Formats: sequence, structure tokens, C-alpha cells
Amino acid sequence: MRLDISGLTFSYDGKRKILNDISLSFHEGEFVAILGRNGAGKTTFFKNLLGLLKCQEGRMSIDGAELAGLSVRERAKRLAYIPQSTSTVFSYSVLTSVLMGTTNNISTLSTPSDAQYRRARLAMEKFGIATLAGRTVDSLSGGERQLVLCARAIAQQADVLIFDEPTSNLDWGNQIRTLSTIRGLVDEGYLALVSTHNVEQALNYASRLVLLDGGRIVADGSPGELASSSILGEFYDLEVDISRINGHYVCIPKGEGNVVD
Amino acid sequence: MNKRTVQELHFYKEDDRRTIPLLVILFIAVFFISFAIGRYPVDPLTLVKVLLSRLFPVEKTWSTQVETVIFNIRLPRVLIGAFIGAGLSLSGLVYQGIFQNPMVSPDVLGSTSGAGFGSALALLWGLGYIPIFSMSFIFGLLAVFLVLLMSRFVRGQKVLTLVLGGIMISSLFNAALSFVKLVADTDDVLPQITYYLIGSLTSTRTVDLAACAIVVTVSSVVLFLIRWQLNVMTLSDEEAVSLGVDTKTIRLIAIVFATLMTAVCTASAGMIGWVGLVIPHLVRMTNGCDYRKTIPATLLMGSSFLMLVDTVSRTLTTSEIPIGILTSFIGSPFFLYLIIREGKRT
Repeated sequence: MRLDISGLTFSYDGKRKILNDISLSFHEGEFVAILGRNGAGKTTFFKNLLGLLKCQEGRMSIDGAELAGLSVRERAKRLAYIPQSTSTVFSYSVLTSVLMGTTNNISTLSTPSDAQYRRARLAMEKFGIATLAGRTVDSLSGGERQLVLCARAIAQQADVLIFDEPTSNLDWGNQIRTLSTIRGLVDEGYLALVSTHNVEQALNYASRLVLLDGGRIVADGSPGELASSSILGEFYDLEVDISRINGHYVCIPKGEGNVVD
Repeated sequence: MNKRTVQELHFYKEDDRRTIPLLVILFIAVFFISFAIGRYPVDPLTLVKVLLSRLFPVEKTWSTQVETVIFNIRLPRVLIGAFIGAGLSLSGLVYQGIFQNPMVSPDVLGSTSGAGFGSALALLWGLGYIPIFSMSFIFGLLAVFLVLLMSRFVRGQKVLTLVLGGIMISSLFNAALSFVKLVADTDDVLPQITYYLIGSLTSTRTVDLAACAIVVTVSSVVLFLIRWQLNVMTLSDEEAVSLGVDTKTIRLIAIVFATLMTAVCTASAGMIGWVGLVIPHLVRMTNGCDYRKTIPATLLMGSSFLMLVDTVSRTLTTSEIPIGILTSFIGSPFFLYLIIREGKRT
């Protein structure tokens, strides 16, 4: 599976370019962390991929098929979106929420059948939340909700998983568990595109880092290539020490906070 | 879902609540109560016999007067109450889902006021039923789209924006309605408009019943067919699109058919408020959120509710109380309760 993006350019007002000539190629089994400051264009990039914004300039294709030529339903069979959080205005059960992932296989005038229930069940079992099936989503903890969203995406049977800051609303333990879950999915062959603000986690969990600034790609490479204080320090306008302890990257900002000897 | 799947999904608890049969029993009970109470009470047994006599040969043990009361007075009124209750409740349920907002309803969104204004304008011009209904529909739809358009330009609290936008559009159409009343002939048209819009089932004609029956039935069927898509539409637009739902088309279908029902109900019986807000909430409290279940539950509960309220409005005092007044007495405190609850959530 290949996801190719070439010359993607986007502007909301016709003047300021939020995405400027983005060209990238991804393939299955990659864990890509998209880093960038607020307003760097991460969300706009995702919205273009998902078809939430109409592509203005450039081409996006998956296995050679133009994304722009796919119907909403067809696109949902290739790309799944995992938002930061899901609406709990109406409290659906975990099972129904996960079943919603199978919507791309249900015709407009019909409802989930046995096949879709089976898909949902397998997805729930994969993340160990089958026992929560009858609970409502709003009664779950943040970490459990994230698992429901992951299960929903897997039930979608897409090969590209797009995560919008998956760890930002979670406590530290759930952040690590969520990242491990994504890592596991990538090992199975999914392509994960993950936007994040946490450089350290990106270095330790992702297989590839893409740095966006002002709508342009400023760096693209493996953690080993980009884990340097000059690249990342300059990117975030921060003096930082990056070292490796037991194979893990540790980033320490210089002169920040109270360091007690 | 067949038995095997139910066994496979033994952990699936949601469908265990058998509320639909209970609601069917409630509906039948209220139906008979509506005949048994009033100026000409008809007991359930006689009612069944009289109704069956139209289909099968049944020995006549009742007076012709009873038959006249049933077929010419009570039955049309009970039926139109049922259809209007079902229609207004279902349009509320659908609006709430597609706007991801439990606080909206036909009246909160301004579609009732728009429809009321359209009807009044048609009355002013002395038009017949079809134009009254058409104008009711056009202005009801216009009101919803104006509110929707307005909420697109306002940033911030989405739930409140729609409610406040609805209040503004409602007041705009109410002002327009007052203007129509002002220029209406005080001897002839003005009382007609005033009484028409107060929300009452008293002056129900056969054409009203037929229109309500057809529109509410057709709309319910269409909305029931897209029930799964409506479930997904309660999520954010980003999620719904990425799950494969054509949100623009589904939203348009839902708004058109929900507003059609509001319009036909308003054109037939005037502005009956709050039903579309209260019933969907009661349904979700007892049945959960899934449209596969809430649509039939809403139709049953909404129709039972309005039949019951109409029975009360007929019998509470010697002169009839218009039903719209009674539903407001019930609905306003309920809305207050929802606002307080919403405040606690956020």
C-alpha cells in the first residue's frame, strides 16, 4: 500500500497558504509522527487527506487511485480518522459506537447486519474492550474512550489510520498505552499518521518524523536522523539537549525550570 | 438480527430492554381512554364493536348516535392528535440528532413560528388548504436554514448558538405574524388566524386528518430508512464524513422531512409547542439513543402523549382549553430542567 501526496497546496482565504507544496510518500508499516507548532498546518493536512476540505492544488493518491475521485464511502474504506475525543452529547453504547466504524459497508437505507456485528466484535476484542460493549461511552475513562475510537477505526477496515493528537487529553499512563497500541497496529501493517506536540514520544515511538512549519516540510526522516539538538532545537526555537539512555531518547530543555543538583 | 448473532453477542445488553411492547400497550390504553372520557363517553367494548362493524358483520347493539359520535367527532380527533403528536416528536428527535444538540426542537429552531407565519399569511390572502400547507412548509424550512446559516457565522458554544439563533428567528417570525394580524380584517380574518394558531384540535377537518396521516407516515418511513445514517450523524461532521456518511445529503433529507411534518402539523392544528422537545428526551431516558429504536419509540410515545393531553384539554374544564396552552404548561418547566442539567454537564 502506498499513499502519495504531491504538490499539495491549500489556502482558506486565497492569500495565505496554510499548506505549501507538500510532497510526501508513505507506505504500510510506517508510524509517522507529524510535528509542528500550533498553526503549522497539521490539521489542515489531515482534513485534506480525509476529504473534509476540498483539495485545491496538488494530487493525493492511494495505490495509484486518486483520492479526489473516490466517493465519501470509498475513501472511508481506505482512510480512518481517530479524533482527539468523540462527542458524548448522545450516549451510545460502546458496541454501537464501534459498529459505526462499519458504516462504509452499510448501504444508506440499511442497518448493520451479522457481518458488521462480527467485525465490531473482533475489533473490540482486539483492544480488550468487549466486556464494555453494553456500557455507554460517556461512562468510560479517557483511556477507554481512546480504545473505543481505535476499535471503531479498525472496524472500518481501512489501511491508513489518521490520529489527531491522540495523547493530548490523556494522563501519562494512558498516553504510553495509546502509543504502544498504535505501535502494535503499525507492526501489523497499518500506516499510522499521528500529529503530536510531544517530541520525546515521537522520537521513541515513531519510525519517521515529518516536521511542518508555515505549511512547508522542513524535515523528514527517521528519529535517528532528526534527533539532534540543532534540528529540533531550531524547529521549536528552544535550546535542548537530546541524549539516549538505554536506547530511549530523552530531551532536556536547557535553562528551563528548576534543576536541583 | 437473528438468534445466532444474539448468542454470539451475549455481552450485548442494550436490546434487553423491551420498552417498545410497553409503549404499544400504552398507546392502545390511551386510545381507549380518549373515547371513554368526555361529553359522550364510549366504552372500550362498544368502540371495538363499532370499529369492527365497518369491516365485518357485527350485530348492532348500539345507537346510531354513538356511531355518529365515534366516526364524525371522536375518531378523527383522536387520530389527528396521534399523528400530530407523532410528527412533532419525531421531527424534534431528528433535529436534535443532526444538529448534535439535545436542546433543539421544531419550536426552539423557529420552524414552528415560520410555519405559523406561513399559514397566517395564506389565511390572510384567503387561500385554501394546499397553499396554507405549502406556505407553512416553505417558511418553516426558511426558518431552519436561517438559524443554521446564522450558527455557521458565530463561533463558540455550539449548543447555545443554535438555541439563541432559534429564539431570534422565532421572534422575527412572531413579529411578522403580529404584522399579519395587524393588517387582517378584525371582524373576519383576525379571529380566524388567532384561533387557528393557538394550537387546538377542535376544528379538525377531514382534509387536515388526511394530510397529517399521509405526510407523517411518509416522512416517518423515509426517516426510519436512514436510521443508521442518523446515528452516525450525531457525531461531529469530521467523524461522520470519515466514517463514510454523505453528511450533506443526509442532513438535507432529514431537515426536509422533519420540517414537512412540523409544517403539516402547524397547518392543521396551529402552533403546538414543546412536544418535539419533551418526548425525544423521555424516549432517550428510557430507550437509549439508537435511532433504530428511538424512531418507533418516539412515534408511539409522542402520539400517546398528545392523545392524552387532548383528552385532558377536552375534559378539564367545561369549556375546552386549547391543547397548545396545555403543552406549554408542561414543556416550559421541562425546558428549564434541561437548561439546568446542561449547565451541570459543561
